Amino acid sequence: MKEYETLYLLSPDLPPEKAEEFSHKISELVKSHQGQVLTSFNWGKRRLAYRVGKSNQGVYIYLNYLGQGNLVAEVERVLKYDDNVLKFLTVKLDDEVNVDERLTQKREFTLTSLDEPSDRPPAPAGQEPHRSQDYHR
Amino acid sequence: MERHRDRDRDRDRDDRGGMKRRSFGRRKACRFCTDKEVKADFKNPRLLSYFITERGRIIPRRISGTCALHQRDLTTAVKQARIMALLPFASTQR
Repeated sequence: MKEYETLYLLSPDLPPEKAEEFSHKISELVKSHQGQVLTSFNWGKRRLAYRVGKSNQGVYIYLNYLGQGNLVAEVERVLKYDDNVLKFLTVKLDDEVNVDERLTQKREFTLTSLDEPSDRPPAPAGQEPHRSQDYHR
Repeated sequence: MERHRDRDRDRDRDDRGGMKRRSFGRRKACRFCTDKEVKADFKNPRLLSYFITERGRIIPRRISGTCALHQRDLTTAVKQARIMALLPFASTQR
């Protein structure tokens, strides 16, 4: 088994419950192909760095899972044919994963790496990039 | 013998001239070597934005001080983040 992460971008016009439903559908798809979902996380609506599909915003959904290469092909195929998906990116995190071991070890999933779009206090000084406010407008 | 003398003279010249040794203010340290917890990850645009210019270009490691290994990880992460519209390919013209 290999470990993958997929981040995909949904249209901001999609109602939240539909987005939730869609991410659920993808998770189910992983399970139906002998895969294991490790994390599924809705990053929420964020401002984009550039316009995608006539929109400056988008909803990011992150999925971390175990599976074989054909599973990735299947997931990407579904993402590709859905009009609400603006962008997606899959990254292989690990080539050979011991499934039982990986499932038991709860790796800390930190939200600091997935900074929230708003209503959050800014990162500690020093790490603050010079243009951070651009991303949260 | 000749060679030895030459070598000594060269060394003297170096010290006297001081031309070859430029003094740098501060040795820049690699951000990812100093903090092993921090990984260059495309999902962390806030961190990555520290390593790109205002126009969205990746800052060379001779400026940022990032080591070769981590600069490689960094460029990959920045490029992945660009694909996902987390970072700009190019932002605003001059």
